Amino acid sequence: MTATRPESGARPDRAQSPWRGRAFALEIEAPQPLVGVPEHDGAGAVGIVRLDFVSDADVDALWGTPNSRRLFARHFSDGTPYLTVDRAESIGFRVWAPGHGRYLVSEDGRDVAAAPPNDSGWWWQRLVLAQVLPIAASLQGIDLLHASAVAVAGKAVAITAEAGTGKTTLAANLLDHGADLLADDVLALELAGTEIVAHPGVALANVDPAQHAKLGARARERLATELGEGDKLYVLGELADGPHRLAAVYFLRRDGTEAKLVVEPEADARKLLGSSFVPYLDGPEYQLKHLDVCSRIAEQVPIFSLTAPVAMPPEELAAAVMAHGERAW
Amino acid sequence: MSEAVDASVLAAQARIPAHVVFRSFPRETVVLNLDTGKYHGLNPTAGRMLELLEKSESVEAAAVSIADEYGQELDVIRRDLYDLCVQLRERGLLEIVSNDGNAT
Repeated sequence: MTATRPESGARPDRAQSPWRGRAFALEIEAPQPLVGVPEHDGAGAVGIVRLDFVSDADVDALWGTPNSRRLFARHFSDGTPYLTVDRAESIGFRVWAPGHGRYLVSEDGRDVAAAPPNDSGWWWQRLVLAQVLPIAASLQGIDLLHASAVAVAGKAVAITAEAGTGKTTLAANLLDHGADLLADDVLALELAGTEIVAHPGVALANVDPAQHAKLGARARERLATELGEGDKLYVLGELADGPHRLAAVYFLRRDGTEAKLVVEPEADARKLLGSSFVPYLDGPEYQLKHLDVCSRIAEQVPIFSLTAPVAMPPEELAAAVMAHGERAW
Repeated sequence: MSEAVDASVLAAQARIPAHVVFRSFPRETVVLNLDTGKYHGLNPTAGRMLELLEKSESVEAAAVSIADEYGQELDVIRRDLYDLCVQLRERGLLEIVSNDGNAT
């Protein structure tokens, strides 16, 4: 997984881009495999994106000194940014994080000039998987929810929640009940005819290490390769094969006042509307796409509020979701 | 207290501007202003009113349809529909165009 960067000014020969994969409904061409992205010929993809490795200077030259707008930023406690996304009209979107490189996504989302750091690790790919590819997908008309998802008996079940609530842990525990991982944190959705189709994401899950250790045999088998620890444990696993019809959405929350699990229909449209993964793409075409997808979900897909006691073990929650699903979706 | 119903509004046609879209959800109609990026929520009745306003030749015609559909007195519906039109116009979500083509 070593990034081999060309000298400044050299353009990679696209005929030399040997690797192709699929994630977020995109066919991905890249100079090397990407962690967690299955190698694939792209069949069934909605869009296509080509990653080219270039130098920092090349990215800077392509970006120039435009009249740009900061769309999104995260900061350390001292105010230093550790993630920025900027947009310049007719150039594209620049994504940067220290230690992870800088990336220029074209306006149409089909090309990425990638300048990862010169090291032999895989860590920099987190930015590609978590920001660069989702931006490319959104620019090509794919709606992304901030959700994890599993495939159960040919259907996709999405779980959305605020960070830290346990959607990844719940998804991981559902693997012990025969589900397959479809997406962690970023769920790509497509309106296909009368259905909403959920596309596989990346087979890289960021789980709580203590919770991972408690997973059952099937889940541990499906999330087998530990890649390293950051704030949590990165685990490489197996993804469900191909897109699945979206059959249910759960909004998970924890409530310290609840003594038992409460599952009830959820009709608050704003929860869906507020679940976009890239809300900073605020152009009318993205907002309209998101509104259309959410409206179709609300019309066709059962949506539930899942309110769990704070102390409810995830394996019990997963069992409850499966039992609920047998009659609900 | 609501202002008196302006008869010229009732006679005019309500148009949804090109930068405004709306979609139905189970408990509300969500209206999106694509220029501002802001969402607005309408209760189901107001949402149905908006649908009929879009299809009707005048606000009055929409009021007649709604009164018939909901089995309500026409005067009550006129009042409610007029208030809705004024509120939506103030938020930039509706245009009220008189027969001579001028905005009201």
